[in-house]
Amino acid sequence: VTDNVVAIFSLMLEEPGRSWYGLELAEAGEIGSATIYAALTRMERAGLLRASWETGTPSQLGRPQRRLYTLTPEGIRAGGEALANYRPRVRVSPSPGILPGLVPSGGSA
Amino acid sequence: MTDWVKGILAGVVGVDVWGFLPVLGRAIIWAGTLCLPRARREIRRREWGAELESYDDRRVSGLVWAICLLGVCAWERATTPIQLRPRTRAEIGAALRTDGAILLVGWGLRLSTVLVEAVVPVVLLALIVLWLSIAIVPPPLATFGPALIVSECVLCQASVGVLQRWQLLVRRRKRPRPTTGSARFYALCPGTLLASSAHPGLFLIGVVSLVVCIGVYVGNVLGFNIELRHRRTRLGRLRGFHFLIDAMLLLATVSVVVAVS
Repeated sequence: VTDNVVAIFSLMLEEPGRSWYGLELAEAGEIGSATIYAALTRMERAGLLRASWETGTPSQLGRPQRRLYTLTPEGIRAGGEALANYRPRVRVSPSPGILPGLVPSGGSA
Repeated sequence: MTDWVKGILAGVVGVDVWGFLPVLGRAIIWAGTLCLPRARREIRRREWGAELESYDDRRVSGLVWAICLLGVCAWERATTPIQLRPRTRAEIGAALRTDGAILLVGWGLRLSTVLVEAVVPVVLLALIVLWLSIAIVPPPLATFGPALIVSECVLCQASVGVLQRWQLLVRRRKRPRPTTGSARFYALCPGTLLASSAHPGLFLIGVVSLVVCIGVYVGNVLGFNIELRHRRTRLGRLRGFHFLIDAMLLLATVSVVVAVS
């Protein structure tokens, strides 16, 4: 279970019935917007996710249909276990904050 | 993308190119998915084509994203199981060799996807800074004058601001990634090397800076999370390493001024 998979699990398990599209997950989880598709594919192949097309026609939506990913029951169970056993391999550090106006308020000294 | 960035980009690459970027992104996706099995190819083209629409107001980001998807295509092709039909031994050998090569290339591209996502915008930024410095500064100054270093510093500081805004606004991050700080070095080093090429000592400083900075940058991208102690200055909280680079640039500037005068 990679860090990206854990990030996907943690997001999707907040609302297990909800469907997400790839870029939405990437931006919410701060995962690489291209690398996320490899993680989603692996999870789909493992039966942890189910992919489907967005309902509604493009004319109704005003854009093309997106491919949506939803956790399967197996995914919900595996995700819970993965989050419970997860130990981060890399310590998350605060951003450098080079410019005074861009220093995050929650950063540590 | 905010109007001012769009305006700058439109001025640099031309309005026509701006409108052409989504088409180019679609073409890259179309070409990249050619290596996939037919069923996956159609799914991927439809999925990524729809999501490319999300980048309509961030077209350069969309183009970079489409380029990064090439690695995912190769990875998916490499990890898709193959089913050998009854063939001659030569045909089976040829198929295995082809798939083996695709497997190696695919995994290589897959590993490089993370690097590409982080490096491409920064390299583009550094090239723009370098190009601007050459275009703006007259030839005599570009060869010997300290004005080049000063203009480099100003441009590099501006580029750091643009890069951070790019992450905060365009990529809609809540805060810049830790690697953003290292990106600054990429922006700084080409200019430093160019400016210091007239003086062997300064050139050495530039080379050392470049090597160290690339090491830190690659280390951070790979997840080693290299950082030095934070220190508080009048300007706010800066990383010690940034402070060191700034000090080296200041030293370089003073040295050139003294040498020329």
